[in-house]
Amino acid sequence: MQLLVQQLSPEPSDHGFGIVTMQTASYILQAYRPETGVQFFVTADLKTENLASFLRDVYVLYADYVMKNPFYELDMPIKVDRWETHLRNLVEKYRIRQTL
Amino acid sequence: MSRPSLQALGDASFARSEHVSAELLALTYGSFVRQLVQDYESPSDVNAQLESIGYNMGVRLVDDFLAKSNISHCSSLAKTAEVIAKVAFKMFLGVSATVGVWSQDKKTFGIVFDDNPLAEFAELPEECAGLWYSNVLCGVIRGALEMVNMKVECRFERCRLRGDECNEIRVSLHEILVEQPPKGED
Repeated sequence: MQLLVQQLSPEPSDHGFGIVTMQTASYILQAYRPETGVQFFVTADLKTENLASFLRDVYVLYADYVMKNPFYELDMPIKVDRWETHLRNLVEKYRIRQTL
Repeated sequence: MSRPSLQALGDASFARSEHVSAELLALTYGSFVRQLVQDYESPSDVNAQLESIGYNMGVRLVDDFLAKSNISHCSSLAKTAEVIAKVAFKMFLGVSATVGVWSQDKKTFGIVFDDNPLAEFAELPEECAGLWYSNVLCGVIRGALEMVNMKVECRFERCRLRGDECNEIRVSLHEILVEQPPKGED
């Protein structure tokens, strides 16, 4: 599990809600776009599973530590320590699950 | 989705969420309203402030709702109404609401609920006769729906604090916003 990039503007080629997967020779890109328009992307090694469930868990963390943080300004870059800590822990949890 | 399963979804979401003391919520909200009444004097100004505060809550709350309720895309206004009443009201307020009467043009519906944890112990004095005590809820609905591209207007129609037999919020759909890709981006 490597980068987690978050964009707030829709892509022109976006085809609606739900999950989008893209696979190349060296990595998988998985995207998740809930109805509010926020987008979550994750890139991972080819054999990684559970990316969809990972992104849904990320969405829960986003709802908790970003959106419900009264000091976070909407549409601004996210600089929230608790969000990053929980995100790191989630990545670790999925990484461990993957290696079992 | 049929009505029983939306209800089950609401109950499940409510059961899964963290619970807080009803007294704490009622007292916190009550002191909040009292402060606004002192600051703004006119009940209609307080109503507007409550709605505006609710709006700011709603734009943030909607992601929590979508992330935790596992609700799928609402294909119609009718489905949206059912989801608000059966799932959202249950999940956040712990109350069972129902969808009330629809307008002729099918663009306005009511959310009807009996219990209201915000107003559990309150009684409106005469000088606050024009106050919609729980108007924050109207703002929450408006804010939340705007984030899923629905521009609505919400207002209280009936309120038990005002002597009505139940609480009702009327929600009117003004327009469905279409997301435009930003200009100049590839």
